[in-house]
Amino acid sequence: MTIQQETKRRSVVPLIEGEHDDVQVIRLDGDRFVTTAQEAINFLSLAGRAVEFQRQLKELLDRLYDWVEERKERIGSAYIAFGRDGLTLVIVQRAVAFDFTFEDQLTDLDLEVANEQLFRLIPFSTLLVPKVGDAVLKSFLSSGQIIQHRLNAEQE
Amino acid sequence: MPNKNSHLATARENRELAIFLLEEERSIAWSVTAACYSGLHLIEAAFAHQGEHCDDHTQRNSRLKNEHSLQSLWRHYRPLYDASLRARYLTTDEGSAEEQIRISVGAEAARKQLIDHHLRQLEKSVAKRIDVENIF
Repeated sequence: MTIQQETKRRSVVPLIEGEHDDVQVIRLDGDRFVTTAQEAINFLSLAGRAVEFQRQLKELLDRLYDWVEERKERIGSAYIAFGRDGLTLVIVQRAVAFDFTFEDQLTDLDLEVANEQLFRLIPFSTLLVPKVGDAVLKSFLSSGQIIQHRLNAEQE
Repeated sequence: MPNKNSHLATARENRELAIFLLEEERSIAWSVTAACYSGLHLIEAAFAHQGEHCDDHTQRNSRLKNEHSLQSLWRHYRPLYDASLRARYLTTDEGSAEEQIRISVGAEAARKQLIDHHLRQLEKSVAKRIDVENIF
């Protein structure tokens, strides 16, 4: 399921489905990949480099699926949010207590992706969120606050 | 634009504010935000030392992530930056962002992990870059 915001400023794609010990990583294949990639291309104004972007996005998603899969015992849900600021991997913990060691792992991923030539067309960031209610999470992801912050809509 | 010493003074003030706000748990959310801004001014002090400046979060974060020599700063600034984001915008079902951060982080972990670890490491790294023994 892709949730397209009314403002068309951001889309959020879930990467995990299921509950408790029965969670599975959802891979975007076929039409879903093409639709998602096209939305990202539009957000990032990359029409002229669409083919290369699609190739990079596929590689990046494969990397992220593996990363999430290896850690799914700690992950309650995961999302790819994309907009004009690029892609943000949002990881929601299973635990309520914020996990600072898990955040260090996300920092490693953040730096790896940002510095890999293979992904040079994709501005990428990560965000770890403690376990929260669905309504709170939906509001947080769709409120535009992430994109506003990344785009520096707030003045310092 | 502020010079290096001005950024360092602001970094110190924000750190003191962050600690004051944690005492008696006055506001963990605003403490975390002040800690983030202390880190931001440490980084800007390092840039100012080289005659440089960043205009906004996007430019600063991009440089910290993509320039190899700055990545050790990003490793400790990013947790402060993201904590500040959550501290302002992530709430509970019925409550505020302050309530959320009390439940998920708490004053003790905010002090230990964000101020005493990440902000401290950032300070050490910046101090080395600007050739001073310590900043706080």
